[in-house]
Amino acid sequence: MRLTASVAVIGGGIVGSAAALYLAERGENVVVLERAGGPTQASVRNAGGVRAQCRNRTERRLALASIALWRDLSARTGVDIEYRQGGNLRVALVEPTLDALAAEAVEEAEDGLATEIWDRAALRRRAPHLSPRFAGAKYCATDGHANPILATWMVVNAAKEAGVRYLTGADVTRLDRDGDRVRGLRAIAGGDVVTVEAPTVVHAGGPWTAELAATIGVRLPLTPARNAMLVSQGAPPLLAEFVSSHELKVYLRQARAGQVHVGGVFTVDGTFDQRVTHEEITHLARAVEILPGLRRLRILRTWAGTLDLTPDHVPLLGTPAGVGGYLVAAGFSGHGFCLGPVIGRTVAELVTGEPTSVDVTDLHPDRFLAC
Amino acid sequence: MSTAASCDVAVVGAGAAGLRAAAVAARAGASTVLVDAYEHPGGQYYRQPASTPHPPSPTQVEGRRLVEEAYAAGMRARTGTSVWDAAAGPGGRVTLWLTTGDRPSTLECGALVVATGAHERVAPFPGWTLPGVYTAGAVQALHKGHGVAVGERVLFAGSGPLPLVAAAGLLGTGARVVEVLEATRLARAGARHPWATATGLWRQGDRLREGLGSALRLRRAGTPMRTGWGIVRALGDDRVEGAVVARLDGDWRPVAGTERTVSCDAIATHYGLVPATELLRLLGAGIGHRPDLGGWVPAMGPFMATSVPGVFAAGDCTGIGGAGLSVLEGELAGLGAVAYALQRQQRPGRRRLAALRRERRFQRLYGTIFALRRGLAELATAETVVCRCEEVTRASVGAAIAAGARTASSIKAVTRCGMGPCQGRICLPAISQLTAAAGPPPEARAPLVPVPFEAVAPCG
Repeated sequence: MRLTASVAVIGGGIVGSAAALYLAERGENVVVLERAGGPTQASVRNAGGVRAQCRNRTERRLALASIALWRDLSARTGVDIEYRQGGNLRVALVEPTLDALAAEAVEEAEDGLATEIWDRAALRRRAPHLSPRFAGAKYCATDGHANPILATWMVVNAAKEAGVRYLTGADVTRLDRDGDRVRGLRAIAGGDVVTVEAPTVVHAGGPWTAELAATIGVRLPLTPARNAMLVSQGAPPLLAEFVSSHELKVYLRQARAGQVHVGGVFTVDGTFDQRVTHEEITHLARAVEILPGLRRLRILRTWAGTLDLTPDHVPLLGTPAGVGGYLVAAGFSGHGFCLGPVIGRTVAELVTGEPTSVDVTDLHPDRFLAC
Repeated sequence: MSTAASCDVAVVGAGAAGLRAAAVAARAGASTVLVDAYEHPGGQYYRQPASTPHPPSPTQVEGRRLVEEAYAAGMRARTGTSVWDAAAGPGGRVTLWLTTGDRPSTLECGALVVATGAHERVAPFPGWTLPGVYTAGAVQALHKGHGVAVGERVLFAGSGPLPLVAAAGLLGTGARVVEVLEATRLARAGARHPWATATGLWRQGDRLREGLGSALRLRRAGTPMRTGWGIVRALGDDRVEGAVVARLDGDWRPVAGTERTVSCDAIATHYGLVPATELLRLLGAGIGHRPDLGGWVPAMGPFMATSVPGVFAAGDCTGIGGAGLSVLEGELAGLGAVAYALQRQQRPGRRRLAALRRERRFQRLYGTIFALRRGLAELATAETVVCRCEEVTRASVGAAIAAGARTASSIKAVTRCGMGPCQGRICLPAISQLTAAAGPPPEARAPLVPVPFEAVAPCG
């Protein structure tokens, strides 16, 4: 089978689908190649955090824009993605951690992001459901969370609605490179070889991006890593905020249906294995140390996703030197769900040659080559 | 806090297979621990009375004997205990994480026998979530364990010997069995496979007696028994008041014009059993698809060894075969586990192997005669809930498939079907039926049973 398109997108997760959507809205003829039957990996396996606080400057500006896009997408599709601006609470066990959070708050204010520093007493008063052991917290009222499965499918369906063709069950085996440009790609779908001719290829294959990029000589510093999560049985409302602790290395949120989702701020690097180990479950259960109300609640399920870590935990976005028409959007290091819409729009801006709404030169995939 | 223990052989599941595995292993000198979720060993078939509400049935007497033999051989039992996580270590030893009434503990063993039995397959049909609709197995369990009848006028419908036996069991309770409907036309199915029928029934006198005895008792009580009939939908607003039944064609599709209404206050359905392979899959055992054995079953080697070193499996979790086969498989697995854990060679015994062949012939016959037919998947209408934990309808599953979901895993991810407290045990086999979804079941993950945070958290 032969297909032609103006843009071929590899990966039908949140990033690839958002890129396809915004490209199609700009009149591009887009085909998405998705290995599974739909989004099944990190896009739908995360905790659904949508936050701007506690990020580096570029990501913070991207996140602020993305939050607006999430609201816009939900409003114009009419899809309820269980988005809730319940706030994001980064708790601190010790004073030095709180001091560092306070310094971060100053930088955030410069970018127009309002956050509050709560000391121990304020935290007790504002979030009495949390353990009293914390020295304080930084709170961002405009942050929140959504249901990542509903949200990602909303973007996929919006892209289809906008005319994007999805080729599912399609395993991309090769990128076609002709001198200093890509010309398209080859895939295997349904036992058939598919050739896609496209002057632009957007590569949003998460941790699987590096292996395919290497076939055209592009080395991307991506490390796969397992990140485990668990979910409790449904419970009456326990917390509105998305709460995280880098000291205890866990984060949690309560979904609308009442289940509490817990994830770990730790990864098992260098593996595509998604089996959750006993040690990981034990670690995640430490969420009771943040929210004592979990104690008697039952853990219902666990699962893991595979992150694509970069050395600085900031994405790779841009065209590597010497491969015109090839745009990498990978290495989201666990931030891809929140940033998905804005990355999609930025990809569309880069492909069509518009000035980007947010400066992303810091994210260029070649940034590690010099050192 | 958590306590740790170790033994040579651990057996999970105290039904026919598990009891025999534990007895054989303990008698061979292995320190043996039998873990079972219920308070009384026996499993489903040999379920023992919780108190003494009525005189035990011959099956319960037989089960009592198996339990006593296992204790006499020196096995220790951990009843009321569930396995919620398990891992096969690099040294070939297996660790089980357990909860007993939410108290955590750890059991490490040199070899493991998994004898987790089977779940009843639930087929969604309009009205199946009404109070008063049960599975035949649940009806039997309530009666065997507690002497309780689920209703005063009970309709049985489905396929296989269990509805017949469960219905006959209710007769002594004062409940009336309205009708017993078997979807397969048994005489016709038997005639189509004369050789399998003849060899399968060879020396199965006890089984035939149990089946025919049940039929005879129902006949004496005046209960109509029909083959080639089935339930179409349950009737009632907030509980069962009746059912629509119909004659079924060879594919189990209702024959137009044969529908009629039956008045009843409880319905018991049964559409075969699904091997309970969660623990085996969690441990990484290789599986294959065998519809004749009930679905996905572990790949088995000599002495009932799975593909994971030190992990053996026996009984219905390796393929539906009933108590007779489970006893023999359990004994073989027990011997295999002893050989592995104590590095001491064991012999299967010629008579045991001959009996095993006989039981496997019956298993093949059973799989052939009671094979599920396509019409079963067509009973659910668009509004019928297929996953009751998450209240997912047939239409939502259809929409997910239309949107590109193909496997049970992706249907689960899109619809939440199977994400509730039953962890997919009830709905996912139905989903594979409904959709002919390709691919293996979603991967098994801990916790195998819901477990409280405080039982898992390392401290506090």
